[in-house]
Amino acid sequence: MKSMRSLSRRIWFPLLLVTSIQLCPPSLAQDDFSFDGYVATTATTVYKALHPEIFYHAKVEVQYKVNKMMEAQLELKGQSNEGERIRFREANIRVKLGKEDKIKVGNMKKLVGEEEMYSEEDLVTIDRTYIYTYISPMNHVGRDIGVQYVHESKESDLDYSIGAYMNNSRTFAAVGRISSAALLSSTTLAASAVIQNQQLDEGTSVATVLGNLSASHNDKAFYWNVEGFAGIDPFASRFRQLEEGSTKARVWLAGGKAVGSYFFRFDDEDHRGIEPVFLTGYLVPDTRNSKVYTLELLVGVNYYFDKHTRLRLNIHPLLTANGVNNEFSQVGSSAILEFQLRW
Amino acid sequence: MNSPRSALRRYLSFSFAGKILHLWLLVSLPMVFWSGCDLIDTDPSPSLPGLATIKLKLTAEAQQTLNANRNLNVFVPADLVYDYPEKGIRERHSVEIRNAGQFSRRYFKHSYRLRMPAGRPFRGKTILNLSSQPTDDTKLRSVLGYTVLRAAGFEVPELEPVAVYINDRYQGLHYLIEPIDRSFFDRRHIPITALFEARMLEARWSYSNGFNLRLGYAKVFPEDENFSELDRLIRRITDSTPENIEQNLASIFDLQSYINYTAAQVVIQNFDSWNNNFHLYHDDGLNVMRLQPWDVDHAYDSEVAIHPSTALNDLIAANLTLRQRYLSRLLELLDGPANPPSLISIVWAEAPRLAEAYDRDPYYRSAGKTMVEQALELENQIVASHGRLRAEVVRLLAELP
Repeated sequence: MKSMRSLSRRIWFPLLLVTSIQLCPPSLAQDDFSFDGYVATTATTVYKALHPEIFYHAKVEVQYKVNKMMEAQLELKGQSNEGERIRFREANIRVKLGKEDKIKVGNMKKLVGEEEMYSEEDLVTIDRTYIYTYISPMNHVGRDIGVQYVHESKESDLDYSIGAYMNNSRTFAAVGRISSAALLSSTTLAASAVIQNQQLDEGTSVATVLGNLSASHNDKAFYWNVEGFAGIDPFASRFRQLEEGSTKARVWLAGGKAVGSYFFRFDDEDHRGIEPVFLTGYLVPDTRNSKVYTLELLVGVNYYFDKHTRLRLNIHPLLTANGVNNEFSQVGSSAILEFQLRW
Repeated sequence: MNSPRSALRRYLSFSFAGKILHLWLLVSLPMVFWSGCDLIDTDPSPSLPGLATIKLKLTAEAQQTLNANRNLNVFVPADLVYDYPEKGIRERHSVEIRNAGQFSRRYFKHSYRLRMPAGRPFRGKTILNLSSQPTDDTKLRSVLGYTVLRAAGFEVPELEPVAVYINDRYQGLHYLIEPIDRSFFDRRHIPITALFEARMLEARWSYSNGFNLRLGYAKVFPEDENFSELDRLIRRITDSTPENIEQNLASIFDLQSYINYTAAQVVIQNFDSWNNNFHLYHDDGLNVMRLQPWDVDHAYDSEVAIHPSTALNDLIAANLTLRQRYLSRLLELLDGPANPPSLISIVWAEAPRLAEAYDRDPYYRSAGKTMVEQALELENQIVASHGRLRAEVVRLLAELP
């Protein structure tokens, strides 16, 4: 009985959402709603993990166009290996200011780096890359509550955004991003940065910064992206401050990645084809000791049954140098197989 | 229909930059594998001798959510491995984790609450605290404090020192601590009908100066807004005088247990225990409200007066009979469970097994003191506070008419 109550508590929101859409008055036309998302089944084996895992996961993203100016977006995700919980990941209001500008208010992604511009189900790799996974807990990327102004140019190919965010750990962040597809033929160049003030310890805050430069190309078949990061690790910085007795001490990290894929199309009509994916990445967690670094490699293949359905395999070694000799640990290496349907 | 040959032709016709990138990717992967590096078998979160290790794995998104909600009770999923090689235990649990604590949330070394699925307990519990004890630089104060409180007759939470890793990053020495909730009393066969938690250093014992009950206490069980029982207790104390306090409280509150509590907390010199860090529960068997201690990580780290000033302590101190009872209990505890040799033997039984986890703790490493040095300092604090207290108690008892 108790578990039933707990389950009902966890699924009330999606049920409410679906029901309210069904029961909405005729004035709320179906065209006002758009749904994105995916359903996937994933098998993964991670180096040194006790057991391989198989699980299913799904995401629903709903956009409701209230009128010509206002739009609401929310996103829900559930994953079977995380229990019965449904995560309420994103909720924001978008106000259009003309054809090229909009303001977003609510919980949303900070637009730092190329990878964050894509939903996870639209990436050529199954998971986000190691460098993004590494900097995400530092709050440099990922979601926060804030206000974002976005300009998407229709004519000049110059886009930019700025945003201000805060969270419930007394962290304040300012983010800026600028990109242009006009400077270099068929290549989009982008620069983004995040400045944060994080209240990490009693009475001590750590100011951090992270910058990203990115170049990418994306057409119907060929995708490549090269990007580099440099920034401050707030947690490692706080430890260094404690050790050195100075609030000015900082730990800088640096890294980059290159990813490329090509879609070999078998059939023009149903989008059947195969897409090999290659990735290399490099991360130095502390530039003061650059002999300790992690090398990320990935060889993958996506087989498309049609535009929406794909079977994916990623072999993903992670090699971490210990900085003392020529030995690398393989911690974090994984192999992942996934069957995904997205819409 | 496109043939693979035409697809390849299209691929080769792409930009020079694209071809260079793909060539680099195709060549770099085998180069790394054949570059002569040695792949080694390393455990990034090695178990430490003498105690259990807890290894938590969170997705990057879950860890970011946890980090971004330090001041909220937002649970995120985690994979937990409890590893105690010396006892041959290695268990894996799917748990939920959130930030925990009141004022301790401000500290860099975080405390967490673990929630296990119903029917799948971890260490026999479905809720456990993973406490960082950030203000205890010896990591032994809770062990000593609860030892004295147990000997004084109180039920105390189970606690176990553990080395903690989150996503292979060492978080230092923590304590797994059983929280005070209904199941705490169920496990000890104590029937309770209400449980209140003192909070935010605001739990007062009198309505004087406009005290608001809900500011200082939270209702833990049942989860409702019925504070009538606690309200009656605080009202009675507010309206009492030293002469009638015992009679006024006799039918609703175990005053002797409170005197015992105050004596034990003074003995361990824990200042943080009269307007914070305790629970009040209604014992259905005895049909009175009683006090339950909680969180004694400030034991022996400061000097506490013989009569700490609260509305109830002031009434007790002003009543000759109660004052004598209180001072006698102090002396019993000082000469009994809180005598320095027995406490120091606990310090030196615990310190060696915690030494490696403590000395590697990034939070304490910066202070530049080892576990052994901290244990020596604690030993001196125990001896000094015992000597000072005992002399004063003997003097005050002698002054009584």
